Amino acid sequence: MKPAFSKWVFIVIAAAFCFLIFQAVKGLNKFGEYNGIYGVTLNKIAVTERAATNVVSTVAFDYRAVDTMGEEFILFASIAGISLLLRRRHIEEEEIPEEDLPGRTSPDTSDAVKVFGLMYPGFIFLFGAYMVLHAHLTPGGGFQGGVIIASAVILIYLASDYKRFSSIVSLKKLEKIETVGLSGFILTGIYAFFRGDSFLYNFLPYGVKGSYLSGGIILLLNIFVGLAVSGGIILLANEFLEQTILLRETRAIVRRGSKKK
Amino acid sequence: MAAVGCIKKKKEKMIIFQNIILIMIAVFGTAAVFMHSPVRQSIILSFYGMLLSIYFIALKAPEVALSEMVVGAVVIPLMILLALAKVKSYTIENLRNKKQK
Amino acid sequence: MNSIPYLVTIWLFVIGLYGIVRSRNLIHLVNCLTVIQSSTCLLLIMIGYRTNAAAPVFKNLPEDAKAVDPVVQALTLTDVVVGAVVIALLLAIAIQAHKQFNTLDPHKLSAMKG
Repeated sequence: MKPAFSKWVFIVIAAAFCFLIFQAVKGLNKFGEYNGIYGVTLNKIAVTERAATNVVSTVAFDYRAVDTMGEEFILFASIAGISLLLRRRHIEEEEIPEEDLPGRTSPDTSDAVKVFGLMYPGFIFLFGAYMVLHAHLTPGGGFQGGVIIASAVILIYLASDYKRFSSIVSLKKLEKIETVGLSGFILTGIYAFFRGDSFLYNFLPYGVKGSYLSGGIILLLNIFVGLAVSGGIILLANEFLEQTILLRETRAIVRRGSKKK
Repeated sequence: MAAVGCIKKKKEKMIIFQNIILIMIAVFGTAAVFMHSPVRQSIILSFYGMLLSIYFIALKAPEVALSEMVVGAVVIPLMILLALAKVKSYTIENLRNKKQK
Repeated sequence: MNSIPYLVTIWLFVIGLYGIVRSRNLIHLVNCLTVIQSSTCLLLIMIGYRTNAAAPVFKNLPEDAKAVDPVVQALTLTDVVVGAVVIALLLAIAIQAHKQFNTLDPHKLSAMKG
């Protein structure tokens, strides 16, 4: 199908689609006038029931904790899929790529970025840990804090080279951290079975509203989610980075059984 | 009376702020589609994520704003640029293999 | 039309679809998919908004204060996470496609080889 023709076909079909969506959106409430029963009821009773001041975390990790478990499964499965897709196969050439023109190296990172990478990862890690550990009191949570912790480690790669990054990060430790996070979540849910309650029931004591140890199981689940997400995102970055590195020191090419396709 | 007038002005300012950010979101979304180079798209998408996060704060959803900020600034541009670098290194390798044939 | 903000969501969806249909590069296609995914998050949060209400964090508020819907925000959290992770998986698939066929053009990738 020629490109110009496909453009007009798309515009006609998009117009029909827009018309149908208009009819659907007309049935929604006016913007700003939400009066559904579930949200209004939860706002009124969630804080008295669970003594955790952040109602969104309570909904995500207590009332609808099964949905968060499904989200963690999706994260885990797709990171496993990416590791599988980007694996190094034995029939491929094990080659250390060199630059296009001989005698050219890529520029070193500037001093400002190096100083930044020296000072900041500790603070960023601390901030990410604060966000994971205060999920039931303030906005934040396991996922947000986990990605912030991962970005502190990625900052170390950006400010130096791949050798230092891979000396800090080891694949086996990351896999263990991610597995501990995900299986801790599920085992906490299964432990509720042994007490006679339903899966992922909130069995820890609720505490006083506003104090640190309140909300029951919400803090524990957030710590597990934070571990799983931080391990997963660093693994993800490691997979993508592994074959794009340019080792600036070596110039030799090592071929081992190359196979032409 | 003055307090009521002050509160009304604040509410109008909030509505104006929300509408401005909404228009900017539409413009940046359109710009992200009509760029042809993926490197420029990744920068526009990271700014688009920040705009979305500010709009979520204006709609009183702080936790979603944090999620979107973290995803839009760390995960998405990093993945796009690393994928591009990997594709480019394969292209260079293939060109070099063809030269040596 | 009862509200203008919902139109922005529809516009983002349609323009993302246009980008996917007319794209000549797999990575450009994945970026347009990011725009589509963020439009769905936007629609969810817009549905739960109440004018002049507070955020659903009750640290200093009384418990019957008017607040925005928290259930939709929990749904959107999952949506954002899943969207980001699926985009990463699609980029890995694009890299493998380039490795096999040496091209990133979706129109040239359509032939299936035995």
